[in-house]
Formats: sequence, structure tokens, C-alpha cells
Amino acid sequence: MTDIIKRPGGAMANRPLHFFWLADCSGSMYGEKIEQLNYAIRNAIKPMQDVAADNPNAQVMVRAIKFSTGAQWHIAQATPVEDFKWDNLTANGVTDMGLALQLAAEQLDVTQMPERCLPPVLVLVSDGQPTDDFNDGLNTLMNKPWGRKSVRIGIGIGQDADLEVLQKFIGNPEIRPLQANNAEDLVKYIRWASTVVLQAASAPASQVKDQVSGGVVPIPQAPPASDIDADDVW
Amino acid sequence: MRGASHKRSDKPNQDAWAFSQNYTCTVLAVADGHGSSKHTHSEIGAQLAVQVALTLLNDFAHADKGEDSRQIKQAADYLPSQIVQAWRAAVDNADNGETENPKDRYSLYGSTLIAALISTDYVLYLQIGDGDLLVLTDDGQLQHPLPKNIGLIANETFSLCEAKAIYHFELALQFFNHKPTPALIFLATDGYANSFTDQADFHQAVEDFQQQITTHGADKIQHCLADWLDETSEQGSGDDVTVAMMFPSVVQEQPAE
Repeated sequence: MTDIIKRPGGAMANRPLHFFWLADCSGSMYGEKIEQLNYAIRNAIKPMQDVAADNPNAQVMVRAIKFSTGAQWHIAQATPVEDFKWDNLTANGVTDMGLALQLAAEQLDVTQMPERCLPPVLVLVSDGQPTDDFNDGLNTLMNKPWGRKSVRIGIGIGQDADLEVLQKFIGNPEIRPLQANNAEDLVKYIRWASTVVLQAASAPASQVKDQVSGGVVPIPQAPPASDIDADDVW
Repeated sequence: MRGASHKRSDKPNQDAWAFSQNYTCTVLAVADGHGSSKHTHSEIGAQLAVQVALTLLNDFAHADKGEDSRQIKQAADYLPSQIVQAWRAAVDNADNGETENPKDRYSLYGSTLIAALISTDYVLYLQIGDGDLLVLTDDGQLQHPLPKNIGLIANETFSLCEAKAIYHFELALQFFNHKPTPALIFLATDGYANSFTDQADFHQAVEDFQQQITTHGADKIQHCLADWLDETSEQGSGDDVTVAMMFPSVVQEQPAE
């Protein structure tokens, strides 16, 4: 009889990839904008799950932060993407974006997120300008090892969105903030972040440390904005 | 072993390994080609890296460096620059004038390198970039003879293709008159450790290998290795996976890819 020899080593696992939504819920988002954001994220869940299922070597975990007057977890528990559901956000208050970045930063420490993780993805969606100390929040985020290595995407909603702030958040000149001026674009960009960006981050090839100029994960081009119909512009 | 994600995306195995053995020394090396779109020939770069390591470490073991440990250490300090130089020359040769700009050329072939040399008096370890080099000592301790690369998380790595590659080498020389002595030297590309839930589960693998080779013999473990590594990549990181081991006490290598 042939001996069956146990495979050496302890338990094996695919590599966690933490995906964070950071959603602006300030008063200016009230009405169609917040409704469309809720719709766009819910609409992207199935494609996001499909992309994740195509790569069994990554375990995508989703969390969400909402910020208005203060910042809170909307989905506090890192949730496997296959169980990810979206409860509607409501809008009210100011735009404490810096606090949202600080809240995310708490989870981006190597004590919370071991080194074998894949680079986390942070998608910041906002229609306005921060009302708190954004730079302080960004510094806190960037002082965390996983904050610096994260893939950061910024989506501005409407023409009042502060694209300069979103560009600072992204911190990579090769990736520009996306400006969604209508519901169609918002759905398109949210889906792109949930699928194309997720796919890129879930199987990244090695990057030479001293040659990384545009982030640890090369991000494919975002889809173009639609032709704007003046009646549909936010 | 070609990784699960490379099979899905129809990419080649970009890892390489090699060993050599003679009366003077045994040398073992593994390398991991970077694989992104900037490094399209990295599987060749990895092959060149392990071959260069074998040649230079073998030469090092045979060279007359003097008798005392200080002289041997001084000679070892030149190895990183010699390896980088030789690797670049090998890349120049392989590229055969295809890529005009040298920086771009070396980048196309970018690779890590981990190597170990055992001679009668000492063992020498060196590494540039990610991956693991572990030593199980004869009193059962698991040691990292080389300092950990601080700041290499996510998918970042140091590389032979960098302009300042020599500054990113880690090198250690241990003489056998120091205790404890190595019982098993274990080299792996990063796809292996990344496939385990945590470091303890990975370290368990190194201890298990030693135990199983002692119990079942190296040939039997070598026979099982391909399936194990396949399973490891499929259930773990998806990356290419290479492990290679040496048992200094018997000066007999058991590499497998």
C-alpha cells in the first residue's frame, strides 16, 4: 500500500483584498444624487461578484464608510463580496471627508491587514468640498503602509465636486478623478471601479520598488463620459 | 511550478531555480521574474539570474581568498556588484541588440534572486527582492539569516534590473564553527509563503519538509512536490511557486520547481 504523505505546512488561503467605499452623504447629495449613488452601487454588486469569482486566488472583502457631519461605518464588518448587500444611504449635514479618511486609515495598518494581503482599493465618491481638515485625514491615511500602497479612485458627482481634492486623494498623476455629471456616468464609473479596478488589484504582477511612479497597481483607462444633455446635468 | 493565475491568463512560469554541486561546494538559487507588462522577458531574466548566481558563487568558493574569516567576508562583499554586472552582461547577450536603451532592456528582464552557497567552512546567503530564505538549525530553531526587507508589502519588490540594485542586496556569511549549524536551508519565491494563512502556517511547512524528508526520504518527497506546489498555488496565492532545499549535513540538495 502506498503511503499518503500530508502536504507540508498549515492552512492555505487565497489572498484578502479589502475594498472600501467612502461615500459622501452631505446635505448637497440629497435627492437624486444619493438615490443614484445607491442605485449605482447596488447595480454594480453582481458584476463585482462575477469579477471576484473569476479569480479564486483573491478573497474580496467589502466595507463602506459614510461621511457627512462626522464619519461612520456603513458596512463596518469586512464582508465577503459574495455576501455584499447595499442598504440605502441618506443625505444630511456637512462634508467631513477628512474624518472618513481617518476612519479608513484605522483599518489600513499591518496589524489589521497582514502583509500577504493584496493592495486595498479605496473608492471615494463626493459631490463637494471637504468641510473638515482633509489634509490631516489624508496624512493619517498615507502614514499607514497599506494607505500608501492602496489603489485610490476618486469619483466627483456634479459640477461642484472638488476635483483637486479628489486628485490629492488619488495621489497618482496617471489616474485622474472621474466626474459624473449625470446618472448614467455615475453608474458607469461605479461599475468600472467595482469591476475593472477590482480585477487589476486582485492579480497584480510584481512592481519594482524604485520604478513605481504611478502606484503599485497599473489601472486601466476609465470609460469616457457620456455626451452631456444639458437637461440631465447635475 | 507555474501558478494557477498564470495558467488562467496563459502566462508562462516566470520563476526559475538551479543548483550545482562539486567537491568544494553546493550552490542553490531561485528567482522570480516580475511578470508585469514592463517586464515581458522576466522568465528569461530569472533563468539568467540563477545561472549567474551558480557561476559566481561557485567561483567564489573556489577562489583563493585567504584563510581567515575576515578576508572571506571582504571578498563576499563584492558579490552583489559582481552578480549585477554578470546578470546585465547576460541580459545584453540574450537581448541581442533588440532593446537600445539599457535601462529599458534590464527592466524587460527584471527578476529577484535568492541563493545559498555551502562550502566546507561556511554557508553564504544572499537575496535581492521578495521571497524567503529560512534556515532550520540542528537544534530545531527556525531562523531568517537575512534581514527582512522593510517596506516591501503589497506587490513591490527590489530587483536586479534597478540602477541601484547592489544596494538592495542582503548578504550573510556564517562559519560552521558557530553553533547552531543549519540542518535545512529553505529557499522559496514569494508565491509560496503568500499561499499560507499566516506566517506560522508557512513556517510549519519548512519544519514539515525536514520531518518528512527524514521519515520518507528525499526521492519520495521530490515525487510529491509537483502536486503539492500545484495545490498550493491553486488554493493559495495563484502565483508561480518554487521551493528549493539543501541539507548541509549531507551536502545533498533537493530542489524542485
